[in-house]
This record gives sequence, structure tokens and C-alpha cells, in this order.
Amino acid sequence: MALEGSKVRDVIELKIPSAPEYIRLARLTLAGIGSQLQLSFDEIEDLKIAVAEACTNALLYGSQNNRQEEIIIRYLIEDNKLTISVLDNGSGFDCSEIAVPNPEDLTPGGLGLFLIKALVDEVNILGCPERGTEVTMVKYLSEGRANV
Amino acid sequence: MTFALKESKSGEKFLLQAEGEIDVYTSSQLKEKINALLDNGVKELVIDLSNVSYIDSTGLGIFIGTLRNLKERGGRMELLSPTPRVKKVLNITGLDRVFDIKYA
Repeated sequence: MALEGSKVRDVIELKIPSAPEYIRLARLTLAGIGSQLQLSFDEIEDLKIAVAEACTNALLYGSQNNRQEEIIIRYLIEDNKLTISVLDNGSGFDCSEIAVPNPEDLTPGGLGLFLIKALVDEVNILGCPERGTEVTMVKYLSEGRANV
Repeated sequence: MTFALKESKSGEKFLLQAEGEIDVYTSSQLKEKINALLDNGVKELVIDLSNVSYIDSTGLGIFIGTLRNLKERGGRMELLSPTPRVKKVLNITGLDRVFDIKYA
């Protein structure tokens, strides 16, 4: 994460067991931060889905439902953007794999990454076999909102 | 966890009223209930989403699987009165063109 040279105001980090009942905490934390940043209701709700989808991927594909593993959610507030990173211990995948769902050939899986991409301004996925997967999502803020 | 399900029957049609948030945790309750209905031979299922404030891909995945199951058996599924937030997720994913969405 490129902290050097950027105008980081605050970093909030949440570490949860890799278990379904805790993913709601990531959404609730996001709601609190979004409210602090005076994001609109819809902006907060969009980001809640994005962070939950990233956590769900970490849960299902990273730790494979092993609650002994951890998911780390990092909320980085900068002057002009909110960056949310979700880290797990999985093997990772390529962001270019995110495809538009085909309504004629839908499967129960595969919608999560598409939703993330649709609901945030930028998304980047880094996978490293020994360090897990890091999904980084960026929401740009209108001028001055991080300074409230 | 803020999630509840109520079911009722009108003729051959089953109405499942969901309330609260459908996510990776609560969706297991939804899946269990729907699977029980399907196992009992239900062919017409209406899922009332008028009190669902949040849905993610796990909930959508259950709806997709249910629709497929019902279609294979000549049945049908309807989503009733999704809230604006749920409708937005359906629109983004293109599922608004897949599901039969009705408003009360």
C-alpha cells in the first residue's frame, strides 16, 4: 500500500475471524466511516455491498470457511478518497477475470466481483501464493469531504 | 442477526416473506427454507422482498438456483416488490431481466 507521499488522514483496521457472522461488522464499520465522511445513503449502501462481497470472497475462496483464519479490512481515509482493502490468506486471481454476467447463462456464483467493480470507482486485486489476496477498492470523495 | 422469514400458502402458490438483510450469513436460512419448499413439491413461489433492506451475491445466487430448479420442473418464481436498494442490485447484475418482478 502506497502510504508515502499521500495525504493519509486516518487508518482504521478491522480484523475478523473468517466466519459469515462477522462480515456484517465490516459493513457496519463502513457505514460509520461513510457517515463520518458525509457520504450519501446510496454511496454508503453501495460501499457496504462492495466491502461485504470482498469479505465473502475472502471467506469462501481465501480461507475456505476456516474460522481459525483471519480477514483484515483496512479503511484508509485520504484527502480525496476512501480506500478499502480486504486481505486474506488465499491464492489470488486476476482482476481482468471480472466479466459482465450473462443473463442467458447465469450461475449462482460469480456475481460478487462484478458487483464490486460496478459499485466502486476503482478496484484492484492482488494475489500472492504466500501472502494471500488483497482486494483494494477506491471511492473518490468530493472536495473537502475527508476534512469534516 | 436482523433476518426473518414468514411463509403462507394460497392455492398452489407459496408466499415467502423475507425481512431484513440477506447476506452470506443469513442466506443459509433462506436457502434451507426454499430447499424445504422445493423438496415438498412447491412449483409456484413468490418471494416478497418489500422488507429486505440489503442483498448480496449469496442471496442472488440462491434466487438463481431456485429459478433454475423451478423452471426444470415446470414451475415459476416471482420476486415481489423489491426495495429500491434490492432493485438496484438486480439492475446492476442484469437479473432484473431474468426474474419475474412484480409490485404489489
